[in-house]
Amino acid sequence: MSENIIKSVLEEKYFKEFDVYSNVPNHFFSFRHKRNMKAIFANTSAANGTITRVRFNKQFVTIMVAIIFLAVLSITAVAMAIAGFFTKEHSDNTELFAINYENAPMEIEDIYYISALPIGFEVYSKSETKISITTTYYNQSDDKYIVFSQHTKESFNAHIDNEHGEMTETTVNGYTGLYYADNAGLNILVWDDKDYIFKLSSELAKTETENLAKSTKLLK
Amino acid sequence: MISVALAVLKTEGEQIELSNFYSLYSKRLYAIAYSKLHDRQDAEDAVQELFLRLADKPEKFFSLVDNKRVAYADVIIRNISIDAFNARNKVTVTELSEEISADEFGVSLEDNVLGEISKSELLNFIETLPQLQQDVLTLHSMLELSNAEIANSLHISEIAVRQRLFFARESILDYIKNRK
Repeated sequence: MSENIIKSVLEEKYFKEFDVYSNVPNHFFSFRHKRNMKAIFANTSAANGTITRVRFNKQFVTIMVAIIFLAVLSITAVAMAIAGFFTKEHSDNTELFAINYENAPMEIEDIYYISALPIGFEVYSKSETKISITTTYYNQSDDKYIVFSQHTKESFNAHIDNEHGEMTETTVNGYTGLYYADNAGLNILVWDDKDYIFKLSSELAKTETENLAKSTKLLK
Repeated sequence: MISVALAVLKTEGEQIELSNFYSLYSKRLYAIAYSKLHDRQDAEDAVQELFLRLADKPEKFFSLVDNKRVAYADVIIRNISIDAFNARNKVTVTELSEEISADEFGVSLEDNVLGEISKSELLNFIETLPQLQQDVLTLHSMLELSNAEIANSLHISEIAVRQRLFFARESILDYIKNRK
């Protein structure tokens, strides 16, 4: 119990000290810094040892499905479904999984993009695997970021803060989804179009973020 | 084959997540560093050092949920900035060389002791502790890191972690008792 008191006081102290950094002045990182950071992220995957390309054959997929199924069965916390997502409640976060991915693609076959990108935003970085694609857009004059990711339903897993805000159900282009705002001021949307799960994190206002989500289209 | 596959997925996923975390919070982290260092290049270097540490030992970072990751990064970069400031100004932080014994380490802040002080008063007192003690206390009690994890994150010895925690708790206990 005493640890909870200390923890509570420290949390209050943390928010008191660091809330001021939720809205900070613009800063344009130097080219040297950006180059070094790209090198760090490029080396992260290499630094973790030998990476073996995995063939997504039927056996691998079957084993992955079995692992995920067994993990779901072992859940002891209250499990619920919300807005088409399976949720597992932890003490300080809600874990999201996709449900009903039987007929969904096991790899990304159709790629989606944000078609109504606000003026000033350009592609800053892009990471692509067979099961997820993440594109970061950056506006240099406003120093704001938008992060858009597409995941296969089977691979999708996210932890949502449930201590400082609530998830609310929403719809994106007729598909059910979830909206929440995290404690750093980001507006986040997650939605399921039956084939893939999409996640959009933005430093823009909620309405602008919703409009971005609605503008996602299939890349042809 | 499964473990290799999972290792591959985890690595690429972590790379993407870490990169996204940088995209979303680099401005904030830079601001924290700059508030201590008041130098643009030093502050950018502090941000770089933070992500080097996160990439080098990513296990703890990825075990935390999103909002706790932000808190974790905030505390670490503040420490990095303080260390850089001290190095720049040739300030040496001396840790005691002797180990804190297990008995001494268990400074007990029981409910009946903490019940004698209001939360706001306790908060105000904690704010007067040395910043290095405050940060170790935050990582330990708020983010629930082990001593080894704190040592890895702050690039200090486990002995230093135990000492800072010990002195912080002892100071709190003394303050509460001497208030009477």
